[in-house]
Parts: sequence; structure tokens; C-alpha cells
Amino acid sequence: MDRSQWAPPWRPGPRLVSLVVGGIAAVLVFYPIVYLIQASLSVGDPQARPPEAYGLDNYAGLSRFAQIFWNTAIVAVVATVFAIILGFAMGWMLSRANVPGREALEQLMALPYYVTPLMGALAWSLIGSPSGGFLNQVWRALGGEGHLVDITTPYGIAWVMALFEGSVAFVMIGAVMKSMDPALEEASQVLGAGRLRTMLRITLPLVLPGVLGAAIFVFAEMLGSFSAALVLGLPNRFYVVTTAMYQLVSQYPPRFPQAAAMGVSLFAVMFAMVYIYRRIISRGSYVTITGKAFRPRAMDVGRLRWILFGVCLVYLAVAVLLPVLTLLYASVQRLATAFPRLDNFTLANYVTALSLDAVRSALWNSLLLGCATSILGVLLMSFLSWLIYRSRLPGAGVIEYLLMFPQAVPRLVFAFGMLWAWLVFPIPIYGTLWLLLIAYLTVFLPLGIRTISGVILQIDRTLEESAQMCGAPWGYRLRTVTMPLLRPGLIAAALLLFIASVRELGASILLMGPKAKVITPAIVESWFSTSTELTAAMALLQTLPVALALALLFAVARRALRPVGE
Amino acid sequence: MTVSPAPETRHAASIDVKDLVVRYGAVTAVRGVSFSVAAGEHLTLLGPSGCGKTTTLRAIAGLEKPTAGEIRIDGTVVYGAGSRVQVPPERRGLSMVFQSYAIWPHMTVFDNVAYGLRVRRESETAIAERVGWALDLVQMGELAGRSASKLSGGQQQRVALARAFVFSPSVLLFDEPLSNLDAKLRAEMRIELKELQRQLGITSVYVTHDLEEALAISDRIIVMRNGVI
Amino acid sequence: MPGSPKPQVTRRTFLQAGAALAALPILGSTRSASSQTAAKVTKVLDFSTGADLAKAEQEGEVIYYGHDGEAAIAVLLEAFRKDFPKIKTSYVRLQTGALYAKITAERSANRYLVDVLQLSDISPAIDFQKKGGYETYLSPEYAAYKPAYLSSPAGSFAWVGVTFAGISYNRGKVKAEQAPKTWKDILNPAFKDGISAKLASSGMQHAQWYMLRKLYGNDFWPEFAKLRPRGFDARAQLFDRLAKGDDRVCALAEYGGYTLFKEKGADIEFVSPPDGLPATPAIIGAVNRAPHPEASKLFVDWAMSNRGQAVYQNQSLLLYGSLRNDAPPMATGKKLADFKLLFPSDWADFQASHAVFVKEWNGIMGL
Repeated sequence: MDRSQWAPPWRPGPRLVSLVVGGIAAVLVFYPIVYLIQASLSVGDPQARPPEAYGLDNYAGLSRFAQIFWNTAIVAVVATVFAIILGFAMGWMLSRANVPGREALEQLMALPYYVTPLMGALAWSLIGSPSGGFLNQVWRALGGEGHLVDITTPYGIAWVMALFEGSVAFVMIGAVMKSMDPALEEASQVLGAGRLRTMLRITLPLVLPGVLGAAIFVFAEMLGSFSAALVLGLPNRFYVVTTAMYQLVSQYPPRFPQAAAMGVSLFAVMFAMVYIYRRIISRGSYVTITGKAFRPRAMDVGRLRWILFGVCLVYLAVAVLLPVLTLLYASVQRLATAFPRLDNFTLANYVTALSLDAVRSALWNSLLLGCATSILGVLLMSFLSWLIYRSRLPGAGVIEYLLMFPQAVPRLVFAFGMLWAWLVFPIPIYGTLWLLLIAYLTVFLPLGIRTISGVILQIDRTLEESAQMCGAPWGYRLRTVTMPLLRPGLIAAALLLFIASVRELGASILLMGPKAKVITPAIVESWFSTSTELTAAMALLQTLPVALALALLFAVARRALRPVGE
Repeated sequence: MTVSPAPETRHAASIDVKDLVVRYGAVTAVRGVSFSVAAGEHLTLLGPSGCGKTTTLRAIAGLEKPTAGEIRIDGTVVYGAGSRVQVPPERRGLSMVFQSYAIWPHMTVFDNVAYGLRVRRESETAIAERVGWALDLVQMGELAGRSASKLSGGQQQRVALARAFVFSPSVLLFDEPLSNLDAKLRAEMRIELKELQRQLGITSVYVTHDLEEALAISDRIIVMRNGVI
Repeated sequence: MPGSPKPQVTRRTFLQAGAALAALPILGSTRSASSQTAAKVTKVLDFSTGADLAKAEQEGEVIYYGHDGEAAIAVLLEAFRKDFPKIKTSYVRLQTGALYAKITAERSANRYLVDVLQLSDISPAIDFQKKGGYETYLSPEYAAYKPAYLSSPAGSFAWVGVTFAGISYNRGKVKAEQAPKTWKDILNPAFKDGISAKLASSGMQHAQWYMLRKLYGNDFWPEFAKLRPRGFDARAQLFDRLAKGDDRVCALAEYGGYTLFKEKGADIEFVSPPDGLPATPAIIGAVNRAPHPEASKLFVDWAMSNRGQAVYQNQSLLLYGSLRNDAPPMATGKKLADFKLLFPSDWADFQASHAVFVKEWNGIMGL
């Protein structure tokens, strides 16, 4: 064969593929949104489907709920402030100061994310309820008046939100810190500026844009938060948009149009926030998680390092150990109180919990769904990431925009649209795990793609180009070069998706059916209708196996996670 | 040491570049460059960094999409603004050695070199023969089984070379392949490269900013500056 | 009179849910009982059933939608499974309002997923009956109940138990002189921000709202609203908080919940106001177009029989009062007749009031 004339056989062009992919993505992402908007415009009989008449009455009527919007804003702002302060402090400590055990601590910082915000909220309601909370009981026993801490106030809710949902702030700010050239700080120190001064005058202004971006992103997330407000706010008549929507559709007759109008408003605000965030990020040379990371030499802070180490430990204790221990303690009592009494201890809660459908089938379903989400999700999202960032296809930007769209929609709102939309879809997937799978894959698109593209962008382009020059068409390249190099990152992404799917509440609580119960919403339903002690037992029973599964996965994956080639 | 099979007669292609313009947004990297390379000739594009030589090379390879002009390989248009042709790199029958070598760390040396042959669905026996021959030519024969991530800079360089010519491309493109090596290695490699070129007898286009290098390995030098010759 | 055919369940019928409520005919209509293909009555264990046991066991599953607390439902279904090990059970638990919203949404999209439905408010039950949602099935066990405790015409649903509510307070948080004694006492401003009740989705709450409104006038509840009461989904939550002192007084204290928590050692007290205790039936019925029709009939028979009623009456998480003619006393030793129970005299009026109730109650609860 005359090799110099060889040409690879024709394969379906990437252009066609990107069109198909873009089409499917658009349907998945926009279908629920369209229905959501349609529902919000429905005036006339609220139960009519399709709507009898269209109008803006529901939006006009939103002024009735002004208090709720205000609540949402306050809680989100305060939570963001808390989260950014925490994230910045931890981020600086672990990347700039020579705190002992930095690497290990950094990994451990991810733990609050695994202790779902729901469990955190349950635990903190046990700790900080104005009357029955453990902390307050102790306070009164010590002679104090009233209560020391009230976790059901907006500040309390914001605190819990920041603690468990704000770990994303830590990751983002940490990335910003890592990509700062340490020479800039060192120069300041050489010129005689003290540590504090350096941090305030050099570090802070440099990372400020990145921190601002993180703040906006976190704010958008907080707007859509559901768990903490549900557990802590509802009993106190304190509603935010997400919990109000949930209540509106949980009554008879359900008020879909009003709930939809609220959802659309929230979505509009989140959309604006995400838009601003992306403008900040794309402007200038602000680092993203994908940038080259410096490994700066940590500043020697002398004896302060032990204090900082202690601070990190305290944070971990409060965010991880405290909730688990509290729940454990409550679950073995008949009537949970801060002061242990021998006659109050019982294992009856566990016995009951084990007999509940919710524990047995929900656990199994969650694990199944988690595996499906992570495996399918990784396959789907790595293909999509490659499509957007590496294939240089026409329309890649449009597809990216489409796929990042769910980021701007609070997950509960999205699920609401899906509920409405998929109820009438001819395929009978309503009330099954399939619907949950589709919902999860759609709402986790931004998360997965962000993570995987971070890995993709770290792979030098020339590695793929050289495969091209050897004559490999895009499918072959993808299979033999791109995917193997991505493997460690893909495994990490799979784990992330697994965890995200198990901890999800907003998207699943509306879409569950009798055969499709999953853990987090099941815990919530138990909390609504059973005692706190039983709920605590259920929560622990349900999350412990998941934690074990995770640990197992990590152990297995650690071998595969070692950088390729070692 | 196996006896290397004699190289088959290879077809060397000619390259014609006409009025090539490559623009990135507001920046014009290459403005109206024209030149030709005869079959079997060794050409170097010489110039300081930023002069557009790498861009031109990558345009010939098909890795950059030019804005205007025409590129022909062996008379066939692979890029033409007027005729709106853009043949993708994998179909041009060219080969390239990258500045960063771009060796795949998750494969062995053997697999790296065999890649191009496997894409072309050669039989495993044929592949083994040719890879052996190519590796011997770059003096990496003994390291065929080693993982590619454990190679030194010079060794990676050679593997990149072997990978590039093992499937007998009609043109070899070099993007500053020696710039990442230290002076001593560079001098050594220069000689080896020259020898390799002679043995293979295919057209090559070489990009560098080092005059000495250019003089050592090419038949003809084109000096570029600011996007023009 | 010829039997009326089984009503068609179409999409259109469900779309008129909201409007339908207002336009319903009065109970006790002259519609004759629809004809029923005579089911063979057999004796299973110690009760009679019109279901085909073999077929039910072949179906192998029953899906139950109910409003009781999750643990309570588990206990109920566990008891059923003990008697019929071949039949699996699964359930959905939501408060009545949410439950009914869910089932109507599902059916309007042609998804028929439910075998047995239990509600705590008669209004949605009547509504469901009008829509033909219930399977017309005359359980042989109905013979042990007065006709007033069945649907009209009989065969759609039945009262599987009764729950009633008084007032309860935390003894540690409420001074003896402030302790509520009559219904008017729940309006005491001293209880502001410390009093709880259920949400608008609760049937029990509807009943209480209706009865106390009738007794004390339309201004009663707006007065109550001034106390900024807190609303919850289930009696377990109400008593949980009361026991811990997070609330001082519970305005809708179900007797069953009180009993349970008193046993757990909570420092709470129950008050039976002299004017009476609003009560609501728990309504059970087999659902039309069920995925497991024989199993669903079997379940209804079981629940209405002495066996099932014993579970409803005696299980600490349920503690309903049974309405069977031959029912034994409740677990606490008292009988239903020992309490002054308040039921609406005009069910149609009660049902028509539902929309008004929801609107006012949501306002009271801050939504």
C-alpha cells in the first residue's frame, strides 16, 4: 500500500454529532423550564392542564410574598458572608501558612460536604433549638436565662448553610490561593513588610477578584438552598422561596401557578448572578480551577501554626464530628435531652427504623441511583467536556452555555418543572427511579462538566495533536489517548457525582414515588411525621452504609487515582 | 541486535504555500506568506519568537485554521480559502515532532511508536518489525518496553522522532524539537537528525530560532519576521 | 332502578378539581347503590373478604397511600404482612392535603399507582368519590358498621377509625393558673409564639377549624392568628416539640399522640374542653384501576375487620378509636363514648368549607 496516499476512512463528522448532542441537551435542560414558565403564566383554574388562560396575575400577586423574598435574600447574604469568611480563612491557612499536616487537612475539609446539609440541620436543631436544644439546656442548667443560641433564626439557618453548603467556597478560594505566584508575597516580605501587612496589602487585593467570583457563585447556590431552611425555618414560620414552593404544592388544592411564579423569580435572580460570575471569571487572567498551580513555600508563622492547626481541627470537629455524635446521642434516647438518664436510653428507635420501608428500600435505591448517576454521568459528561473544550467544533460555545444553564436554576425549581413536564410525557417514567436519574443527570451537568473539564484542560493539547498527526480520527483519539489520561480525574468525578446524587434533596423530594424512595427525602419525610429520635436513628442508619461505600470506593480508587504512569 | 529491514522506497511530497494569512481575532500572526518546498528538500523557517513560523508550520499540519491563502501538498489542495477546503490533520499524510515531544505517559515506548501504525491497521508482526527498525534508528531499541513516563528529555525526543517517521509520512514537520534540550544534547541530536534525514529521504520543514541549527540541518532557509518573510 | 355504570376516569374530570368542590350535590342523594358484580365472600383467618385470596397472593403486593406518621404506617403494614406474608407492602406517606394533591396529579396524567387510599379528611374523600376514584366495593365487613360511618352510597369508602383532639400543654412551661381549660383559652395572648397546630393539609385541622368556628363564630380563628401559631405536618412533630418545650401549648392535641408521649415520659397534660372535642374520621377505600385490585380489596376488608381494627386501636403510634358495633375499649381503657366528640352535622357544608379553610389557615400560618 502506498502509505503516503493513505487516508482514514470516513467517520460521522463531529459537526453532526455536536448538533445531535446540542439538540438533546437543549431538550433536557429547557423542557422543564418551559413548563415552569408556562405554569407561572397560568391564570384561571389553577388545576387546568394545559392552562386555560395566560396572564401575569401570578407575578403581580407575588407582592403578597414579599416577606418570603426578603427572608431568602437575608439568609443567602448572611450565609455567603459566613461561607466566604470561613473559606478564606481556611484557604489561606492551608495554602499559605505552614500549618502542620496541611495536605491531610485539605482532604478532610471536603468532609462537611459529605455530611449532608440535611443531617447538619437535623443535628443543629437538636443542639440549638431555643427551648429543647442541648446547648440551651446546658446553658439553663448553668443558671443562664432563656437560651444562648437560637438556631431557628435567620442567622442560625445561615450558619448551618454556610457550614455544610459553603465548603464549595473553600475549594474555589483555595484554588485561587494556589494559583497566586508566591514570589509576589515573598517580594513584599523581603522588603520588610510583616506577615499581616503582606496578607492585607498584597495577598488580599490579588485574590480579591477570585474571591468575589466565588462569593457570587456561593450566593447563587445559597439562594436555592432547601434543607436547612426546611428543617430549621419551617417550624418557626420562616419561609424562603424554596420551602414556600414546597409548601404550596404540598397542599390540596396545590397552588402550582403561584409556586411556579416564585420559582421563575428566583431563577431570574440566580441567572443574573451566574451571568455576573462568568463575566468576572472570563475577564482577564483570573484563575480558574484549571490554571497552573504553584506550590508556594508556606510562610513560617512560628508558634501561630499550632493555633491555626487547632482552629482547623475545631472547624472539622464542629462541622463533622458534632452532628454525627449529636444524632447518635439522640437516636438512643426515648426523649432526647442533654442530660443522660439511664431510664431514657433505648434501642427501640433502631428497631423501628429497621422495619421502615424508608430505610430498607430507600438505601438500596440511593446506592443504585448513585452508581447509575456516577457511571452514566461520567461517560456523558466527559464526552460533553471534550466536545466543548477540546474538539474545536462549531457551536461548542453554545453547547457549553446550554449545559451550564441548570446552574442558574435552583434544583427544587428545576424539579418542579420536571414534575409538571414529565407527568404528561407519554413514557411512563413518572414515579420511577428513571425519572430521578434523568433529573440528577441534568442538574449535575454543571458540576460534572466543571470538574471534568478542569482535568481535561490540564492535559496538554499537543498530546492530542500528536495523535492527530499520527492519523487518528477523533473517535480513536478519544478512546486511546484522551480517556486513559483522564482516568484519575474521571474517577474523582465519578465519586463526586455519587456523593452529590446521594445527598440531593431539592430535586428528589418532589419526584419520589412509592417505588422510588431515596435516602435524603426519606429522612425528611420521617422528620415530618415521626419523632426526632427516630429520625436521628434513620438518618444514621441510612448514611452509615453510604459512608462505608464511599470509603470502599476511595480505597479502590486510590490505586487508580495515583497519577498516571507511576 | 536485529538486522534492520531496508527502508522501502518512500514517497516524498512537495509543499506549496501561497499567500497564507492566519489571524487570531485582532492579531495577525501570518500575513501573506508564500513559499514552496520541493519533494525531498529540507527547509527551515528561521526567526525570533513571535514571528509566525510555528503558526505557519501548524497551518501546514492542519492544526491551525488559516484565514486566507492556499496550501497544497503534492499538488492537492489541503487548504484553500477560495475553494473552502480544509482537510483535517489526520488525513494529510503528514507527521510532526512537537516542541514538548508530546509523548503519551500512559503507554510504553513501543506503544507510543506503534500508534500511527495501529491507526492504519497494520498487522502486529509488521508493526513489531517497523517499530523495532524505527527505534534502532534512534538508538532506543533496548528501551522499547519501558513506560514512557520514565524517560529523560533526550530519550523522549528520540521516541517522538521514531513515532513520527515510523509510518512513512510524505512530509516531516519539526516544531523547535531541540529547544528543550541542553547544549550538549542539542549538538548531538543535530548530527543525528541530519543523519536521519539523509537516511529517510523525505521532505521536511523545520522551525527554529537557532541559526546554527538551521545551517546544520537544512538545504534551504527562509527567514521570517513579524509574519512575513 | 338499573345500576349506574362505573364512572369513566378521564383526564378532563380531574382538571376540574378546584371548581368541582363547590358544585357537589348534597350527601344522601337519591342515587341508588351502583350494582356490583356479586363477589364471592370467603372467610380468611377470622374475617370475611370479598376478595379472591389466591389472586391477591398472586398479585403479591399492595400499595398504600396514607396520612399517618411514617412509623405508624410501617406498624400497620407490618401487621398486615404478618397475616399475609405473601403480599408485599409499600407506601407513600404525606399529610392528607399533599397526599390528595399527589394522587389527583398522578391520575390526571394516567398514572395509576395506588391500591389503597387513607385520608384524614372527608372532603377529599367525597371529592374522590365523585370523580369515580374509588373502586365500588361493598366489603362484607361493612355489615359491622352503622351506615353513617360508610360512604353514601356505600361501597366507596369507610371510616376505619376516629381521632379527636383537645388541648395539651407542657407542665414545665405553663404556670398552673395559665393552664388552658376551654377552647377560648387557646386565644390567650400569653401563648404568643408558643402555640402549635397543624397545617392546612391536615384533615384533623379542618375538622377543628370548622367545629370551633361554628361554636364560637367567625372571629375565633382570626384572634388565634394573632398568636402567630406554628404549623406542622403530623402529631408526632407536635408532641415532640411540646415535650421538649419548644412549644408551650398545642392547640390540636390528638388523644392518641398525647397517650404515646405521656408513656415516653413527657411532662405534658391533656385537657378535654367541656364544649367537646372536634373529631375526624380516618377514611379508607380501595382505589379504582388499582395495579393490584384483589390485594387492595383484601386490605380494606382486613382493615375494617376486628383484626385490623385491633391494630388501629391498640398500636401506640395509631391509637384510633374504632367505630365497629362490637369494638372493645381503646388501649387506655376508655371508649369513644366516654368523650364528647364533635362532628359536623352537615357533611356537605363541611366539605364545601374546605376551600375557605385552606385560604384562611394558610394566612394564619404565614403562607
